[in-house]
Amino acid sequence: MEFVFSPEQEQLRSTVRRLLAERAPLSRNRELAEHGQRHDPQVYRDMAEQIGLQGLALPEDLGGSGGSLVDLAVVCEEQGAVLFGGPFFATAVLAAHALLACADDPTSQALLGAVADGKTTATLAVVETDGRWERDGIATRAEPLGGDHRLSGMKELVLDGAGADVLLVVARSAAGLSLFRVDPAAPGVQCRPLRTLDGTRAMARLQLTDAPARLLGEDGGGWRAVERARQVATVLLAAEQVGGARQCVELTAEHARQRRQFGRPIGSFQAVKHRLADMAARLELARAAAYWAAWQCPGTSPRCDEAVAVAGSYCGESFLQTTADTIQLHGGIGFTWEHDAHLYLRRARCDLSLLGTPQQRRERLGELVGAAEGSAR
Amino acid sequence: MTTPDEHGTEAVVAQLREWLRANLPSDWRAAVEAGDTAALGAITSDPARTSAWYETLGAAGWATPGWPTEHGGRGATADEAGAVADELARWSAGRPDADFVGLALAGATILAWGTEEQRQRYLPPLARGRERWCQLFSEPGAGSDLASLATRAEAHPDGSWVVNGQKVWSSYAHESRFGLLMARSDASLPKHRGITYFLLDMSTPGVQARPLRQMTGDAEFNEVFLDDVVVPDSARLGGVNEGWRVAITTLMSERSGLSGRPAVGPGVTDALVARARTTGAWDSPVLRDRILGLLVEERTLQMATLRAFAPAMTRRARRDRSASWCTRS
Ligand SMILES: Cc1cc2nc3c(=O)[nH]c(=O)nc-3n(C[C@H](O)[C@H](O)[C@H](O)COP(=O)(O)OP(=O)(O)OC[C@H]3O[C@@H](n4cnc5c(N)ncnc54)[C@H](O)[C@@H]3O)c2cc1C
Repeated sequence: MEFVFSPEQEQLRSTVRRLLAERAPLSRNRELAEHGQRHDPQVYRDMAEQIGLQGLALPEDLGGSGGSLVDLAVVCEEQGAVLFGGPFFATAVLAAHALLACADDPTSQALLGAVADGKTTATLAVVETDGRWERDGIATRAEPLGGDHRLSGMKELVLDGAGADVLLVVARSAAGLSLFRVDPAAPGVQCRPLRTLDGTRAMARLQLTDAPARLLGEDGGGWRAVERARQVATVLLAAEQVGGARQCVELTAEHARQRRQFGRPIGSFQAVKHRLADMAARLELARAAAYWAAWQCPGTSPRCDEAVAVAGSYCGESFLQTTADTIQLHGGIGFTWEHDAHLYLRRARCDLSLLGTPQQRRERLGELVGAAEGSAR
Repeated sequence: MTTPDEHGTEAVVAQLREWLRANLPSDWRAAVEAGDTAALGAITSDPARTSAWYETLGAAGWATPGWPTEHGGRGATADEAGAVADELARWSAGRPDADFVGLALAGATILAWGTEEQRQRYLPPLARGRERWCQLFSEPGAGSDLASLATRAEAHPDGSWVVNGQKVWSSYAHESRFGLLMARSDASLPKHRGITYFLLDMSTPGVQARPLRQMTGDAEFNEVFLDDVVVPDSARLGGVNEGWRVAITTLMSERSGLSGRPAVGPGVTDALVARARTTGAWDSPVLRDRILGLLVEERTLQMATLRAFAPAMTRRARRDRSASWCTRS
């Protein structure tokens, strides 16, 4: 395999791009967000039934089509370009990859099938008050009850939490951190939507009070599932950010061509050109980092970990810078509600807190590089 | 080299503190001293309370400390005026941001270019917070290239002017009594020379302000449509076709006014440090370094502001006379 897109991937990209342009363009996603709606369920179903996007990177024996994470990254890039919200990322990325880590469990297998069909939406609830994706930040407790468990605790920043059909919750049992399936309609489960800076992505706070739950996979083996889901999600979030940044560069370049001041297009002024060139250069670096990581993933090798840490560190912060430049280069129009620039800024800023911070990624990178040097000596 | 303290701002601040002790309503003072933001919010969002306070503040010259005493100011230096603004902000007793155009831009421009009659008419109500001002400069086709503005002012035989055109991004125009208006009075002259400056009464028939929503969700700026708006010649500021020079005074005041009060004001980063200490973020070397980076930026910004301000009055006066161009962004 070479580090270029295959004809099938190019085909996939244009199919997804067409579907989004017709059914979920940015204008539509903005409208849904402004009306507090999570998504258009028909578009979600069609993504599964017509193109099989939800099952794209799931194994064939579990109802998927056995594609790679590069395939899924292509999809996420296109979704990121139009700030597609809804349950896709939470379901097909976060929850699906947590479930894949415990795919021996028949419940997981059944859920993965339902995810691939587009019939069930799901999400993964990990972080608590401190917002950190670290083991010691998990205080939610699981007490055994008959064959099942009861969970009590509070989860923050649960992506698409208030609308998901299935909640996957990480909690501490006697054996350690474990993954549980919780039915959002069960007694003791309260999921409140949160108003965040980025209206295009639904977030919730989950309160569990003796909520009935079923263990998924091995008791005490839940953190492995979280790490796998987080690794994959970090890479696909980076792909989304590439899409968002791409859209910002296009919007801004077009504006610089059209907008005239001092009798010339503003794009002819060197100060504008330089800023745009920096935006484009950042985009290329982010694209390389995101797809390199998608190509290495999933995996447990240091090379894979390093690629994820680099993508997670670079793509989010560079996207944020690009959205700020977009606003600046648009002048007064960039400050208006009507213009789309602020939607990208909001998305970029919230992304930085979604799966842990870029600083944490760099810490991880430091550990990896330090370890490699240590073993070489 | 001198620092602001050596410029004697301490004396002015002491005077202001004494005056505040005697004049700031006692519940207002108590709310600030107790850090009771709810009580303070209730006071400062009550228009009856604030307009009474702005009268008192303005009558004593504290709303416009930099203006000359004969026009209701206190003849303060720029450093002193800055210290006054900081002290008032500490008591949540200064004028709101929405009055920036009036206090900083209209005030300076009318003082520099107005006739005695114009100063008498416009300055006292401005100082007392009775009339809000907006800036009608930018147009859809004229932003950075302000001098390319296309709003026209035609002279009528009776001496009045008829104005037609469209302005945009005009902050608080929908709440303003007057607007600082630039319009093209002679299209045959080079673009910087054919502009005349007016003090537009926003209640004149034909003036229509339509709020535009900003990315924050608030609607503070506007589109302003001007259709056959009749403006008396007494509202002209400066000479016919000399509006660009008048506008330079406004723009320079805007520049120094906006940079003179850093958005991240004194103590904001210190508060961030205190907060980081309580949340534990301070224990992370990474976050600590970022916060300290912000602190360094805040401090250098303040130092640069002080440096820019000390000789600013003389420099600005020189620039006002010589500048024949300006780009804004
Ligand atoms: C919050 C807000 C409040 C405002 N309030 C007011 C108000 O009260 N009254 C008023 O009159 N106006 C107001 N403005 C308008 C403001 O003055 C203009 O936005 C500004 O002059 C820029 O003009 P523009 O928006 O047309 O951008 P443009 O001039 O189109 O500029 C777009 C981009 O191109 C760059 N650019 C343009 N020319 C050059 C060049 N020659 N070299 C290098 N770069 C260049 C600019 O820096 C900018 O990044 C406000 C604007 C904002 C955002």
